[in-house]
Amino acid sequence: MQLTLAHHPITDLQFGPSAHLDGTVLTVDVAALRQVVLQEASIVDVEFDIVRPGEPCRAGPIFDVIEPRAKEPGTGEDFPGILGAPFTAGMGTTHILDGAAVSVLAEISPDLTRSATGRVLEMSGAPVEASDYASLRHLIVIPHTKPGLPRPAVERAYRIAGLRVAVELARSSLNHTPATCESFDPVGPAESGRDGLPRVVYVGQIFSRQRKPEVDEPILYGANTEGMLPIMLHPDEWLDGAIAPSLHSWFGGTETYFYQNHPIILDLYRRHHAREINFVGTVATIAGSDNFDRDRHCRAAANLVKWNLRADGAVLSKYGGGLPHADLAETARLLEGMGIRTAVMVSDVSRDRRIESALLFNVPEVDAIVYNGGNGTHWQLPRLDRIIAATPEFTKLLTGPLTVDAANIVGVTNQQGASRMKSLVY
Amino acid sequence: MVGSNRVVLGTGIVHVTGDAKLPAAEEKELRRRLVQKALDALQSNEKQ
Amino acid sequence: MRIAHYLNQFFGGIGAEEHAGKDLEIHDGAVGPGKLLESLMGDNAQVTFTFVCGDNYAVEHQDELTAAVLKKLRETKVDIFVAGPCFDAGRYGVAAGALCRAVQTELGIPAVTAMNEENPGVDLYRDTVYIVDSGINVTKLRDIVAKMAALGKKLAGGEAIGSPGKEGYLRRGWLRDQLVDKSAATRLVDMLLAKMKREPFESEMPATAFAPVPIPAALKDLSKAKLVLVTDGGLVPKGNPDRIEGTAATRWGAYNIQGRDDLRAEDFEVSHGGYDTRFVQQDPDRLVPLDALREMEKNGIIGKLHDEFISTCGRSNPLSNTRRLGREIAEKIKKEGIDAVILTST
Repeated sequence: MQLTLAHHPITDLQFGPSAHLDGTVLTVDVAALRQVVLQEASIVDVEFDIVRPGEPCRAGPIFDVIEPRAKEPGTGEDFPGILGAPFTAGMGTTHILDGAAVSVLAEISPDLTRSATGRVLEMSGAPVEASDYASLRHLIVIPHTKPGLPRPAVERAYRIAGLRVAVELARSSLNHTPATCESFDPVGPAESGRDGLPRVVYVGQIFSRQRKPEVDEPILYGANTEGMLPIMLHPDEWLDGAIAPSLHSWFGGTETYFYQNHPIILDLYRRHHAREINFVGTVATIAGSDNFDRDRHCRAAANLVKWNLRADGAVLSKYGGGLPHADLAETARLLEGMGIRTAVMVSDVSRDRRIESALLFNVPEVDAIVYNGGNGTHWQLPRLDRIIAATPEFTKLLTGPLTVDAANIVGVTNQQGASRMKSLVY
Repeated sequence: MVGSNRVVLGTGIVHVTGDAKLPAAEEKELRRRLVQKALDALQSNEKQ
Repeated sequence: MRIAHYLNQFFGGIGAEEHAGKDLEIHDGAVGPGKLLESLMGDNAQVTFTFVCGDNYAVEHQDELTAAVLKKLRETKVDIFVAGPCFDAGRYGVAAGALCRAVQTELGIPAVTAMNEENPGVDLYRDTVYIVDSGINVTKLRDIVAKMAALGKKLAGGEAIGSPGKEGYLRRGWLRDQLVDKSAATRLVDMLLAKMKREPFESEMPATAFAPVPIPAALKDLSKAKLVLVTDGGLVPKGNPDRIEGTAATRWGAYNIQGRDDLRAEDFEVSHGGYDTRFVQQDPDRLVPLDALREMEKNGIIGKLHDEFISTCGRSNPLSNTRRLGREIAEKIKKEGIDAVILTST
């Protein structure tokens, strides 16, 4: 596997009659993008907008945030298995528009039991320092789907349309010289020249069976993961489009952007390059639907880590809601029992801000826990004139002034390791 | 104090005392068996 | 700085256990360890008066003791209330904690105490009162009083209080969000590498151990037993009349199933955001197995099925809610003369 990331920094986005990249300014052709989005039959109309860091504006609910990236033609497929054939991701050259993002809005709040506003993109004010997304320039995609469609069909259309727009945008960089090119030191269980370095693995959940996936729900190379057991993946597969978030956005936050820029994988690569560790690989796993399913998955994942990747240590992350913490802890417990040290990252489940409510497991060996916070933080968002939303109801709801939980500002809480909000115990 | 002493495994999160994959009659039979297990547990002093 | 100090019969110089029934005395100025306290709290610090009370009296007459202390503190203002240190003396710790809390809540006067982590006063009061970790070793009195003095000064001065490790108090059991420079990913890898190298690391969350519930005795005769169905899967009548929330529910409901042999889809909906509810919506017996239990009632396997099923939502529900929900549901169940519960959980 040899992936080359070609970085094209973007300092501004603007609309214009033809899409092109001029230095670091990207001109976006909405007519062309409209055609791209309307390829999804469920979407009958679409608008676009551009938001920049510091602008007093707000957009929501956010369905997904995607970094504009496009494969160098002939070197691989964009989002393989989802937009094209399921060729292995993580090879060849991928062009990236750094500093830009495509953010797709939804027409309904993804989880009404948690939030009326859904996740909000806030580009100015207090929440800005807590979310990396506030420092990007976003092309906002405002889709309008056919009325009366079942929700999964609508969400699938948002997913596909968003990915297509992100690819289309990045294609403007194809004939340009990138500012920098980056490739990673080789990773694998049998890489030579790394004797004596601790062998480290990343085990990441990519779905939770708290709900059944839709038949056509694209998660892993376009497959919906139903019936799947854990699988070993090269880290570059995560970074280069093999995985998409499941259709429902769960509490805790997961966006395509942070699969493409996976914080845990990138951090492991940094240590690997600095020769502090031997990053030997990753396992993608799934939180089970019942106890047997959980046992089956946790053991299979642990076995891959122990016998195929021969790891000395593993970092683990979860996906989904509360129940997947049990899978996280069980996988870690099994690994500890096999002599493999673990550290796990959990989501904030303490709604009453008490320690006794903070952890959903109590396993003595699973004693290295990174705790993503957020449940105790709310921001008073001011009334703003510029609200970008897909419906008049949401425009009204988001105008403000309104109070929003930290978990409902996109990018503040995140299950992929991007969050900088932790919980202090006192 | 937290916890339950008598725990019987159901058929998964989404249908604890059922199974959408089974035909109706078989599902009812599955439910009867699960409930019977629960009743057996209530008559036993063993922690399960 | 004016200090009010509370001591038990032993530290107050009256005597040992045989004097534990002594009632409250109020002395002007410092007594026993109070002298050390006042010397450590700064030049202008003075123990204005000392409350001395026997441990048994304090526990048996807690309300009267509290009222007397509050009355005195209303008459003569102080800047800080200090109780103990109590070490592992349980009655002393409980009394000290109760007084500290009352003084804070009723009079707005800051308070501090000290005891060993196993002291029963800790579990009761750690979340509302600053309790310095004293350990059990009374020979460390000077060090502990010094920590109490330092913390007391900060509290009296309205200063920000730092982490438990820094200030020496027992973790109060609360969480506060904090924005930091390092991403969770970096902190995660840092923590793993430290653990692998056997270097010290600090987990961002400690686990809480809960005392197990003793197992209630088994049913002797199922055929005479009255059962009730309870669920935390959020099954509610259409329209959710009791407005049971789909997350962190604060309410529960009891719904009539008299004469019904099964639950029909059109009569119910599900208020629960944590699982795919369509299968239960199609057939609610998949969550609340009324049909099976009704059959068993008809066949005499069970004595009677209670006329209602009870429902709430367990999703993301902290113990501070569910303890109360459980208690209230249990009270209702006892009132109805029910012998056993089948609780179905998603």
